[in-house]
Amino acid sequence: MKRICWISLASFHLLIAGLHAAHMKEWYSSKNWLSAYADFTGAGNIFSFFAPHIGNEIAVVYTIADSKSHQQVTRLEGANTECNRRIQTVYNFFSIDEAQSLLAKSCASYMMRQYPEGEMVRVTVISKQIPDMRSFRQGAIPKWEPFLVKNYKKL
Amino acid sequence: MKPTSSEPLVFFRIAVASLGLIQGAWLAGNISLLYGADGLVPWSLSKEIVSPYMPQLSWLQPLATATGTGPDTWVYMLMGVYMLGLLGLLFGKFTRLSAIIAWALQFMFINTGFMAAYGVETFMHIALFYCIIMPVTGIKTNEWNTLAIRVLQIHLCLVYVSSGIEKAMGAQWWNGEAIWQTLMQGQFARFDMHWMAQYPLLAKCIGWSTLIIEMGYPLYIWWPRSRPYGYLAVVLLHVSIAVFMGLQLFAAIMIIFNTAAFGWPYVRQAYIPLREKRRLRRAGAIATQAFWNME
Repeated sequence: MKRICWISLASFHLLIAGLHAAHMKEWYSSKNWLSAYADFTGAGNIFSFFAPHIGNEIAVVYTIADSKSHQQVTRLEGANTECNRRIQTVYNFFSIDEAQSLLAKSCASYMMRQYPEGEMVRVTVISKQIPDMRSFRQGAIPKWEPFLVKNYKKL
Repeated sequence: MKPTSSEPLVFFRIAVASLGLIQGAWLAGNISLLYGADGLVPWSLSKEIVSPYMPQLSWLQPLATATGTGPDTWVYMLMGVYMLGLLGLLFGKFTRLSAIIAWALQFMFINTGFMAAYGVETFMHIALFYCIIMPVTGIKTNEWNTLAIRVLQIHLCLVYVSSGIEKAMGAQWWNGEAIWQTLMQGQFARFDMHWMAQYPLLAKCIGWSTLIIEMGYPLYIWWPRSRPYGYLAVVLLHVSIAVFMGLQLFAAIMIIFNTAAFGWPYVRQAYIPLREKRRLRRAGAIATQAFWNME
Protein backbone atom coordinates (compact mmCIF):
# COMPACT_ATOMS: atom_id res chain seq x y z
CA MET A 1 0.00 0.00 0.00
CA LYS A 2 2.82 2.39 0.99
CA ARG A 3 4.58 1.58 -2.25
CA ILE A 4 1.45 2.27 -4.35
CA CYS A 5 0.94 5.61 -2.56
CA TRP A 6 4.51 6.76 -3.24
CA ILE A 7 4.46 5.62 -6.86
CA SER A 8 1.14 7.46 -7.36
CA LEU A 9 2.57 10.62 -5.77
CA ALA A 10 5.70 10.40 -7.92
CA SER A 11 3.59 9.89 -11.06
CA PHE A 12 1.38 12.85 -10.16
CA HIS A 13 4.41 15.07 -9.55
CA LEU A 14 5.98 14.12 -12.88
CA LEU A 15 2.68 14.59 -14.69
CA ILE A 16 2.44 18.13 -13.31
CA ALA A 17 6.08 18.78 -14.26
CA GLY A 18 5.40 17.51 -17.79
CA LEU A 19 2.22 19.56 -18.21
CA HIS A 20 3.92 22.73 -16.99
CA ALA A 21 6.92 22.12 -19.27
CA ALA A 22 4.30 22.07 -22.07
CA HIS A 23 3.17 25.59 -21.02
CA MET A 24 0.13 24.46 -19.01
CA LYS A 25 0.13 27.83 -17.20
CA GLU A 26 -0.81 29.51 -20.46
CA TRP A 27 -3.92 27.34 -20.82
CA TYR A 28 -5.73 28.98 -17.93
CA SER A 29 -5.44 32.38 -16.32
CA SER A 30 -6.58 31.78 -12.75
CA LYS A 31 -4.22 30.53 -10.06
CA ASN A 32 -5.33 27.37 -8.33
CA TRP A 33 -3.93 24.76 -5.94
CA LEU A 34 -2.28 22.95 -8.84
CA SER A 35 -0.21 25.93 -9.87
CA ALA A 36 0.64 26.58 -6.20
CA TYR A 37 1.79 22.96 -5.88
CA ALA A 38 3.86 23.36 -9.05
CA ASP A 39 5.46 26.60 -7.84
CA PHE A 40 6.35 25.24 -4.41
CA THR A 41 7.78 21.92 -5.61
CA GLY A 42 9.60 23.15 -8.70
CA ALA A 43 7.28 21.19 -10.98
CA GLY A 44 5.96 24.40 -12.53
CA ASN A 45 8.87 25.37 -14.73
CA ILE A 46 9.14 25.99 -18.44
CA PHE A 47 12.47 25.07 -19.98
CA SER A 48 12.65 27.49 -22.89
CA PHE A 49 16.34 28.36 -22.44
CA PHE A 50 17.57 30.29 -25.49
CA ALA A 51 14.40 29.28 -27.33
CA PRO A 52 12.87 29.57 -29.80
CA HIS A 53 15.35 32.30 -30.82
CA ILE A 54 18.12 34.31 -29.20
CA GLY A 55 17.09 37.73 -27.93
CA ASN A 56 19.27 40.79 -28.40
CA GLU A 57 21.76 41.63 -25.68
CA ILE A 58 20.54 44.57 -23.63
CA ALA A 59 22.66 46.96 -21.58
CA VAL A 60 21.89 50.07 -19.57
CA VAL A 61 24.05 53.19 -19.35
CA TYR A 62 23.40 55.67 -16.56
CA THR A 63 24.26 59.36 -16.79
CA ILE A 64 24.20 61.02 -13.39
CA ALA A 65 24.28 64.79 -13.12
CA ASP A 66 24.81 66.68 -9.85
CA SER A 67 23.66 70.19 -8.90
CA LYS A 68 26.85 71.69 -10.40
CA SER A 69 26.04 70.09 -13.76
CA HIS A 70 28.90 67.62 -13.48
CA GLN A 71 28.00 64.52 -15.40
CA GLN A 72 29.14 61.00 -14.79
CA VAL A 73 28.45 58.11 -17.13
CA THR A 74 28.45 54.75 -15.45
CA ARG A 75 27.18 51.18 -15.57
CA LEU A 76 26.04 48.88 -12.81
CA GLU A 77 28.08 45.84 -13.79
CA GLY A 78 31.25 45.22 -11.80
CA ALA A 79 33.91 42.56 -11.34
CA ASN A 80 31.54 39.86 -10.06
CA THR A 81 30.57 37.87 -13.15
CA GLU A 82 27.77 35.96 -11.41
CA CYS A 83 26.20 39.20 -10.19
CA ASN A 84 26.60 40.70 -13.69
CA ARG A 85 24.73 37.70 -15.09
CA ARG A 86 21.78 38.50 -12.82
CA ILE A 87 21.84 42.22 -13.62
CA GLN A 88 21.76 41.22 -17.29
CA THR A 89 18.80 38.92 -16.62
CA VAL A 90 16.94 41.86 -15.05
CA TYR A 91 17.80 44.08 -18.03
CA ASN A 92 16.38 41.45 -20.40
CA PHE A 93 12.94 42.45 -19.12
CA PHE A 94 13.38 45.73 -21.02
CA SER A 95 12.47 43.74 -24.12
CA ILE A 96 8.90 43.61 -22.76
CA ASP A 97 7.20 46.91 -23.67
CA GLU A 98 4.90 46.93 -20.62
CA ALA A 99 7.84 46.52 -18.23
CA GLN A 100 10.05 49.26 -19.66
CA SER A 101 8.78 52.29 -17.78
CA LEU A 102 8.55 50.58 -14.38
CA LEU A 103 11.94 48.93 -14.73
CA ALA A 104 13.63 52.13 -15.89
CA LYS A 105 12.21 53.89 -12.82
CA SER A 106 13.52 51.12 -10.53
CA CYS A 107 16.99 51.26 -12.08
CA ALA A 108 17.06 55.07 -11.84
CA SER A 109 15.97 55.03 -8.23
CA TYR A 110 18.65 52.45 -7.36
CA MET A 111 21.32 54.59 -9.01
CA MET A 112 20.06 57.72 -7.20
CA ARG A 113 20.58 55.89 -3.91
CA GLN A 114 24.11 54.89 -4.97
CA TYR A 115 24.95 58.48 -5.93
CA PRO A 116 23.25 60.71 -3.31
CA GLU A 117 24.95 63.80 -4.75
CA GLY A 118 23.17 63.23 -8.06
CA GLU A 119 20.25 65.47 -8.95
CA MET A 120 19.23 63.81 -12.17
CA VAL A 121 19.75 60.43 -13.76
CA ARG A 122 19.33 59.46 -17.40
CA VAL A 123 18.66 55.81 -18.09
CA THR A 124 19.71 54.81 -21.61
CA VAL A 125 18.76 51.28 -22.58
CA ILE A 126 20.74 49.98 -25.53
CA SER A 127 20.44 46.82 -27.54
CA LYS A 128 23.18 45.03 -29.48
CA GLN A 129 22.18 44.31 -33.06
CA ILE A 130 24.23 41.39 -34.33
CA PRO A 131 24.13 40.81 -38.09
CA ASP A 132 23.63 37.27 -39.33
CA MET A 133 26.68 35.31 -40.44
CA ARG A 134 26.21 36.07 -44.14
CA SER A 135 25.87 39.85 -43.57
CA PHE A 136 28.88 39.75 -41.25
CA ARG A 137 30.96 38.13 -43.99
CA GLN A 138 29.82 40.92 -46.33
CA GLY A 139 31.10 43.58 -43.95
CA ALA A 140 28.20 44.31 -41.54
CA ILE A 141 29.32 44.70 -37.93
CA PRO A 142 27.51 44.36 -34.58
CA LYS A 143 26.30 47.71 -33.25
CA TRP A 144 24.63 49.07 -30.15
CA GLU A 145 21.46 51.06 -30.63
CA PRO A 146 19.50 52.95 -27.95
CA PHE A 147 15.85 52.05 -27.72
CA LEU A 148 14.76 53.70 -24.49
CA VAL A 149 15.96 56.95 -22.90
CA LYS A 150 14.35 58.21 -19.71
CA ASN A 151 15.28 61.11 -17.46
CA TYR A 152 14.49 61.19 -13.76
CA LYS A 153 14.97 64.08 -11.32
CA LYS A 154 15.40 63.86 -7.58
CA LEU A 155 12.21 64.96 -5.83
CA MET B 1 11.18 -2.35 -8.22
CA LYS B 2 14.73 -3.63 -7.99
CA PRO B 3 16.53 -2.32 -4.88
CA THR B 4 19.45 0.00 -5.63
CA SER B 5 22.11 1.81 -3.63
CA SER B 6 21.49 5.34 -2.36
CA GLU B 7 25.01 6.40 -3.38
CA PRO B 8 23.79 8.54 -6.34
CA LEU B 9 21.32 10.31 -4.03
CA VAL B 10 23.99 10.96 -1.39
CA PHE B 11 26.19 12.36 -4.16
CA PHE B 12 23.21 14.51 -5.27
CA ARG B 13 22.75 15.93 -1.74
CA ILE B 14 26.44 16.71 -1.22
CA ALA B 15 26.92 18.19 -4.70
CA VAL B 16 23.77 20.34 -4.56
CA ALA B 17 24.66 21.67 -1.11
CA SER B 18 28.24 22.42 -2.21
CA LEU B 19 27.01 24.26 -5.29
CA GLY B 20 24.51 26.27 -3.23
CA LEU B 21 27.30 27.30 -0.87
CA ILE B 22 29.56 28.33 -3.77
CA GLN B 23 26.72 30.34 -5.28
CA GLY B 24 25.92 31.98 -1.92
CA ALA B 25 29.56 32.91 -1.34
CA TRP B 26 29.85 34.22 -4.91
CA LEU B 27 26.88 36.54 -4.49
CA ALA B 28 27.42 37.44 -0.82
CA GLY B 29 28.73 40.92 -1.62
CA ASN B 30 25.75 41.78 -3.81
CA ILE B 31 22.83 40.66 -1.67
CA SER B 32 21.45 44.20 -1.24
CA LEU B 33 21.59 44.88 -4.97
CA LEU B 34 19.85 41.64 -5.92
CA TYR B 35 17.47 41.00 -3.02
CA GLY B 36 17.48 44.13 -0.84
CA ALA B 37 14.39 46.16 0.01
CA ASP B 38 15.82 48.98 -2.14
CA GLY B 39 17.62 46.76 -4.59
CA LEU B 40 17.63 46.96 -8.35
CA VAL B 41 14.14 45.45 -8.28
CA PRO B 42 12.80 46.82 -4.96
CA TRP B 43 10.39 44.89 -2.75
CA SER B 44 7.69 47.46 -3.50
CA LEU B 45 7.81 46.31 -7.12
CA SER B 46 8.36 42.57 -6.66
CA LYS B 47 5.51 42.22 -4.18
CA GLU B 48 3.11 43.73 -6.71
CA ILE B 49 4.08 41.13 -9.28
CA VAL B 50 4.60 37.99 -7.17
CA SER B 51 1.48 36.32 -5.76
CA PRO B 52 0.91 37.39 -2.12
CA TYR B 53 0.76 33.71 -1.13
CA MET B 54 4.30 33.06 -2.30
CA PRO B 55 6.98 33.38 0.38
CA GLN B 56 8.99 36.52 -0.29
CA LEU B 57 11.43 38.79 1.47
CA SER B 58 8.95 41.67 1.68
CA TRP B 59 7.29 39.66 4.45
CA LEU B 60 10.22 40.79 6.58
CA GLN B 61 9.15 44.44 6.36
CA PRO B 62 6.85 44.41 9.45
CA LEU B 63 9.58 42.61 11.41
CA ALA B 64 12.16 45.18 10.34
CA THR B 65 9.82 48.03 11.31
CA ALA B 66 8.97 46.46 14.67
CA THR B 67 12.60 45.81 15.61
CA GLY B 68 13.95 49.03 14.13
CA THR B 69 16.52 47.01 12.21
CA GLY B 70 17.15 47.73 8.53
CA PRO B 71 15.38 45.23 6.24
CA ASP B 72 18.65 44.41 4.50
CA THR B 73 20.12 43.28 7.83
CA TRP B 74 17.32 40.71 7.98
CA VAL B 75 18.04 39.68 4.40
CA TYR B 76 21.70 39.07 5.31
CA MET B 77 20.60 37.10 8.38
CA LEU B 78 18.31 34.94 6.25
CA MET B 79 21.14 34.38 3.79
CA GLY B 80 23.26 33.21 6.73
CA VAL B 81 20.54 30.79 7.85
CA TYR B 82 20.22 29.55 4.25
CA MET B 83 23.95 28.85 4.15
CA LEU B 84 23.71 27.04 7.51
CA GLY B 85 20.89 24.93 6.06
CA LEU B 86 23.12 24.07 3.12
CA LEU B 87 25.98 23.19 5.49
CA GLY B 88 23.66 20.85 7.37
CA LEU B 89 22.69 19.27 4.07
CA LEU B 90 26.32 18.98 3.01
CA PHE B 91 27.40 17.16 6.18
CA GLY B 92 24.18 15.17 6.50
CA LYS B 93 23.34 16.70 9.90
CA PHE B 94 19.60 17.08 10.57
CA THR B 95 19.37 16.47 6.85
CA ARG B 96 15.63 16.79 6.33
CA LEU B 97 15.32 19.88 8.54
CA SER B 98 18.33 21.44 6.81
CA ALA B 99 16.81 20.68 3.41
CA ILE B 100 13.48 22.23 4.43
CA ILE B 101 15.21 25.39 5.69
CA ALA B 102 17.38 25.70 2.58
CA TRP B 103 14.44 25.03 0.23
CA ALA B 104 12.10 27.51 1.96
CA LEU B 105 14.67 30.31 2.10
CA GLN B 106 15.87 29.72 -1.45
CA PHE B 107 12.21 29.94 -2.53
CA MET B 108 11.87 33.28 -0.71
CA PHE B 109 14.99 34.61 -2.42
CA ILE B 110 14.00 33.52 -5.92
CA ASN B 111 10.45 34.84 -5.54
CA THR B 112 11.78 38.24 -4.51
CA GLY B 113 14.59 38.30 -7.05
CA PHE B 114 12.60 36.48 -9.75
CA MET B 115 13.66 39.02 -12.37
CA ALA B 116 17.32 38.24 -11.71
CA ALA B 117 16.88 34.47 -11.53
CA TYR B 118 17.95 32.15 -14.33
CA GLY B 119 18.31 28.40 -14.91
CA VAL B 120 20.56 27.69 -11.95
CA GLU B 121 17.92 28.98 -9.51
CA THR B 122 15.21 26.91 -11.22
CA PHE B 123 17.19 23.69 -10.85
CA MET B 124 18.41 24.52 -7.34
CA HIS B 125 14.78 24.88 -6.27
CA ILE B 126 13.88 21.51 -7.82
CA ALA B 127 16.97 19.90 -6.25
CA LEU B 128 16.31 21.23 -2.75
CA PHE B 129 12.71 20.00 -2.90
CA TYR B 130 13.98 16.56 -3.90
CA CYS B 131 16.47 16.65 -1.01
CA ILE B 132 13.49 16.95 1.36
CA ILE B 133 11.48 14.12 -0.19
CA MET B 134 14.14 11.67 -1.35
CA PRO B 135 16.28 9.32 0.77
CA VAL B 136 19.48 11.34 0.40
CA THR B 137 20.99 10.62 3.83
CA GLY B 138 22.72 7.29 4.35
CA ILE B 139 24.20 4.56 2.18
CA LYS B 140 21.48 1.92 2.03
CA THR B 141 20.16 -0.37 -0.64
CA ASN B 142 16.41 -0.44 -1.06
CA GLU B 143 13.60 0.08 -3.53
CA TRP B 144 12.88 3.68 -2.37
CA ASN B 145 16.22 4.69 -3.85
CA THR B 146 15.13 3.13 -7.13
CA LEU B 147 11.90 5.14 -7.10
CA ALA B 148 13.72 8.39 -6.23
CA ILE B 149 16.31 7.88 -8.97
CA ARG B 150 13.55 7.03 -11.44
CA VAL B 151 11.81 10.34 -10.61
CA LEU B 152 15.07 12.22 -11.26
CA GLN B 153 15.53 10.35 -14.53
CA ILE B 154 12.02 11.03 -15.84
CA HIS B 155 12.16 14.66 -14.73
CA LEU B 156 15.41 15.13 -16.65
CA CYS B 157 13.88 13.53 -19.74
CA LEU B 158 10.99 16.03 -19.51
CA VAL B 159 13.45 18.91 -19.13
CA TYR B 160 15.61 18.01 -22.12
CA VAL B 161 12.79 17.03 -24.47
CA SER B 162 10.77 20.18 -23.77
CA SER B 163 13.88 22.35 -24.02
CA GLY B 164 14.82 20.67 -27.32
CA ILE B 165 11.31 21.04 -28.79
CA GLU B 166 11.19 24.73 -27.83
CA LYS B 167 14.54 25.30 -29.52
CA ALA B 168 13.48 23.33 -32.59
CA MET B 169 10.54 25.73 -33.08
CA GLY B 170 12.99 28.52 -33.93
CA ALA B 171 14.74 28.68 -37.30
CA GLN B 172 17.92 30.01 -35.63
CA TRP B 173 18.69 26.60 -34.13
CA TRP B 174 18.43 24.89 -37.52
CA ASN B 175 20.60 27.33 -39.49
CA GLY B 176 23.28 27.84 -36.82
CA GLU B 177 22.41 31.49 -36.17
CA ALA B 178 21.52 30.69 -32.54
CA ILE B 179 25.11 29.62 -31.86
CA TRP B 180 26.54 32.63 -33.73
CA GLN B 181 24.22 35.14 -32.05
CA THR B 182 24.92 33.72 -28.58
CA LEU B 183 28.69 33.69 -28.96
CA MET B 184 28.66 37.26 -30.29
CA GLN B 185 26.90 38.61 -27.20
CA GLY B 186 29.27 40.22 -24.70
CA GLN B 187 27.34 38.75 -21.78
CA PHE B 188 28.22 35.20 -22.88
CA ALA B 189 31.31 35.47 -25.07
CA ARG B 190 34.48 34.29 -23.37
CA PHE B 191 36.58 34.12 -26.55
CA ASP B 192 36.72 36.03 -29.79
CA MET B 193 34.46 33.89 -32.00
CA HIS B 194 34.12 36.25 -34.99
CA TRP B 195 35.88 33.63 -37.14
CA MET B 196 32.80 31.42 -36.88
CA ALA B 197 31.03 33.53 -39.51
CA GLN B 198 33.49 32.05 -42.04
CA TYR B 199 32.36 28.53 -41.12
CA PRO B 200 28.54 28.63 -41.00
CA LEU B 201 28.46 24.86 -41.37
CA LEU B 202 30.24 24.52 -38.03
CA ALA B 203 27.64 26.73 -36.31
CA LYS B 204 24.90 24.69 -38.00
CA CYS B 205 26.47 21.41 -36.78
CA ILE B 206 26.66 22.70 -33.20
CA GLY B 207 23.01 23.83 -33.39
CA TRP B 208 21.89 20.48 -34.76
CA SER B 209 23.99 18.56 -32.20
CA THR B 210 22.30 20.51 -29.40
CA LEU B 211 18.88 19.67 -30.81
CA ILE B 212 19.76 15.99 -31.18
CA ILE B 213 21.24 15.79 -27.67
CA GLU B 214 18.19 17.46 -26.12
CA MET B 215 15.35 15.90 -28.11
CA GLY B 216 16.94 12.46 -28.31
CA TYR B 217 17.82 12.41 -24.59
CA PRO B 218 15.18 9.88 -23.44
CA LEU B 219 16.13 7.49 -26.25
CA TYR B 220 19.88 7.27 -25.85
CA ILE B 221 19.97 7.71 -22.07
CA TRP B 222 17.42 4.96 -21.45
CA TRP B 223 19.09 2.34 -23.64
CA PRO B 224 21.89 0.87 -21.45
CA ARG B 225 24.27 0.41 -24.40
CA SER B 226 24.17 4.04 -25.52
CA ARG B 227 23.82 5.47 -21.99
CA PRO B 228 27.54 6.00 -21.19
CA TYR B 229 28.11 7.77 -24.53
CA GLY B 230 24.92 9.78 -24.08
CA TYR B 231 25.90 10.78 -20.55
CA LEU B 232 29.33 11.84 -21.83
CA ALA B 233 27.73 13.88 -24.64
CA VAL B 234 25.44 15.71 -22.18
CA VAL B 235 28.32 16.41 -19.80
CA LEU B 236 30.40 17.74 -22.71
CA LEU B 237 27.47 19.93 -23.80
CA HIS B 238 27.30 21.47 -20.33
CA VAL B 239 31.07 21.81 -20.03
CA SER B 240 31.00 23.70 -23.34
CA ILE B 241 28.26 25.95 -21.95
CA ALA B 242 30.48 26.67 -18.94
CA VAL B 243 33.63 27.30 -20.98
CA PHE B 244 32.21 29.21 -23.95
CA MET B 245 29.29 31.03 -22.30
CA GLY B 246 30.52 31.43 -18.73
CA LEU B 247 27.44 29.75 -17.25
CA GLN B 248 29.47 27.68 -14.78
CA LEU B 249 26.85 27.33 -12.05
CA PHE B 250 24.12 26.32 -14.48
CA ALA B 251 26.42 23.81 -16.17
CA ALA B 252 27.43 22.41 -12.78
CA ILE B 253 23.89 21.84 -11.56
CA MET B 254 22.91 20.13 -14.81
CA ILE B 255 25.95 17.83 -14.58
CA ILE B 256 25.00 17.06 -10.96
CA PHE B 257 21.43 16.14 -12.00
CA ASN B 258 22.69 13.97 -14.87
CA THR B 259 25.29 12.24 -12.73
CA ALA B 260 22.82 11.44 -9.94
CA ALA B 261 20.17 10.24 -12.39
CA PHE B 262 22.23 8.30 -14.94
CA GLY B 263 25.98 8.81 -14.63
CA TRP B 264 26.85 7.66 -11.12
CA PRO B 265 27.88 4.09 -12.09
CA TYR B 266 30.39 5.48 -14.62
CA VAL B 267 31.74 8.11 -12.23
CA ARG B 268 32.04 5.41 -9.56
CA GLN B 269 33.91 3.14 -11.96
CA ALA B 270 36.39 5.92 -12.63
CA TYR B 271 36.61 7.10 -9.02
CA ILE B 272 36.92 3.82 -7.06
CA PRO B 273 40.14 2.57 -8.75
CA LEU B 274 41.70 6.02 -8.18
CA ARG B 275 40.72 5.85 -4.49
CA GLU B 276 42.06 2.31 -4.15
CA LYS B 277 45.32 3.30 -5.80
CA ARG B 278 45.70 6.19 -3.36
CA ARG B 279 44.97 3.93 -0.40
CA LEU B 280 47.50 1.36 -1.61
CA ARG B 281 50.14 4.06 -2.02
CA ARG B 282 49.45 5.30 1.52
CA ALA B 283 49.62 1.74 2.91
CA GLY B 284 52.91 1.22 1.07
CA ALA B 285 54.36 4.40 2.59
CA ILE B 286 53.29 3.35 6.10
CA ALA B 287 54.76 -0.15 5.61
CA THR B 288 58.08 1.31 4.37
CA GLN B 289 58.21 3.68 7.35
CA ALA B 290 57.51 0.77 9.72
CA PHE B 291 60.30 -1.24 8.08
CA TRP B 292 62.86 1.55 8.54
CA ASN B 293 61.71 2.07 12.13
CA MET B 294 62.45 -1.65 12.81
CA GLU B 295 65.95 -1.23 11.43
